[in-house]
Amino acid sequence: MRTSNKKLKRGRIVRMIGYGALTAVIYAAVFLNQGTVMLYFTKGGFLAATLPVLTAFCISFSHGGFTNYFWQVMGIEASKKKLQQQKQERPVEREQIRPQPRLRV
Amino acid sequence: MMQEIAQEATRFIDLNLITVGYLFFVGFVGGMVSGFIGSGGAFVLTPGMMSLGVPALVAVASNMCHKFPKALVGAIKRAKYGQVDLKLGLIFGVFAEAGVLYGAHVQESIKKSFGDAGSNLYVSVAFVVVLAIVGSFVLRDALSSMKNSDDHGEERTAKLARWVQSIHIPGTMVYFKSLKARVSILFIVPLGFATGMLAATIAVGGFLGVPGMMYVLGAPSLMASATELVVAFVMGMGGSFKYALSGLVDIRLVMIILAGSLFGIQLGAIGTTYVKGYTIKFVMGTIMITVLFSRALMIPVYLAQLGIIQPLPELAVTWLKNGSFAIMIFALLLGAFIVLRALLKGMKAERQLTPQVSLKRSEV
Repeated sequence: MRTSNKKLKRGRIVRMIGYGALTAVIYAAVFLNQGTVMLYFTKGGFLAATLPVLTAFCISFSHGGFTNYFWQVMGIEASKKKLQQQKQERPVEREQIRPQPRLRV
Repeated sequence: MMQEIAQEATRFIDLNLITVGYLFFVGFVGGMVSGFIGSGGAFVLTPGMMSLGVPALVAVASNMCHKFPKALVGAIKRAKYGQVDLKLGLIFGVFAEAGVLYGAHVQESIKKSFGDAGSNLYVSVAFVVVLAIVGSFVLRDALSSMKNSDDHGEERTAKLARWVQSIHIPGTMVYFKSLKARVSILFIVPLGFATGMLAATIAVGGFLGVPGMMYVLGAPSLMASATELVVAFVMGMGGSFKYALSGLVDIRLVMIILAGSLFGIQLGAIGTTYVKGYTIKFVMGTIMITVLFSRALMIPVYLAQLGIIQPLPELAVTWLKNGSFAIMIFALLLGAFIVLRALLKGMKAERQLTPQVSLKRSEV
């Protein structure tokens, strides 16, 4: 039990570092080339308009992943009690019962 | 013209450590509130950026562009907790987007006819009227729910919502899991449109969207606040693209705010799993009523600028402006405080409960 917990925590730390590194790369790429980035991103028009929107999507993926694992590593997680309750409240899907052929004598 | 404004803005802003720290912190606190009540964290950012010297249009555009990735992360997180009604969010979002476009058009025509002061007065009056009506109703309902709710915190469906759910209009009925009922899309159209219009006017459509889903459609507050994040994502993405077409989005500001707000939105979303529905209503109502006073303070300033009342002394104008901004920050901090307190209290209670449960199990 303790080993699986350790494994889970290590996995979370590894993912946090991975997402964190990706976020750092994106931020560094933008802020180290501010002049060029602002020149193209504020040009206007359809193609230039996709640049800030796409960048925002990339950040939501990388930084969103990082912050998710960050709070998990810090021990701040959703209430397990309530989530279990919600899962129980969902209707249980029934397996479809196939009519079995029966021999009638 | 638009590009000139954007270029001027990028030259204008000096990104020093204080500016970055300020935007990060406001983003973090705003994100926490948004993750909890579905919206409401962004209203401080536009005036906040403007106080740093960012032109109004660039501030609005950058605020909008930070909102949709934040809403996306929050919606995904809360969908994992089973709180999001994607179908309702998407349908609501499409009509809200139409409202945003119309609201922006109304704003532009008011600005053309009455200038900046007229436009500001329109925004402040919209703030005060909507927040006074909806905010007091939400807060009153939250307080009465606190008294009357049972142990499970189940919320009663409002009378209006029961009537809406009972109306059957052939060809327009759609089943929504959050309502556990079929509702005519014709009721969602005006709600979505009004939410979008409010978003284009005061930057927080959720102050109408969430209560609309709760009291008109009959969604529980936890699901309404989570579904609002989907609406904010749809609205925010469309709005951002519209502003980006004119080159008004300052991606550096967006990224700094996002750096803080994505930390905050995760905390706010986690917080919802420890509270009962009425806490969401309580936080929302409290913020709405506090912000109402902030905007009410500014009305005499705009009335004086338009020449409707006698001009105010300069010192009074400065005091009113600073007071208004301070109340806004206070509203956000108050909301964040309630969210954090609920989260920490809930976590502590669950930790105390866990060893007892495991002890009982080991005894068995």
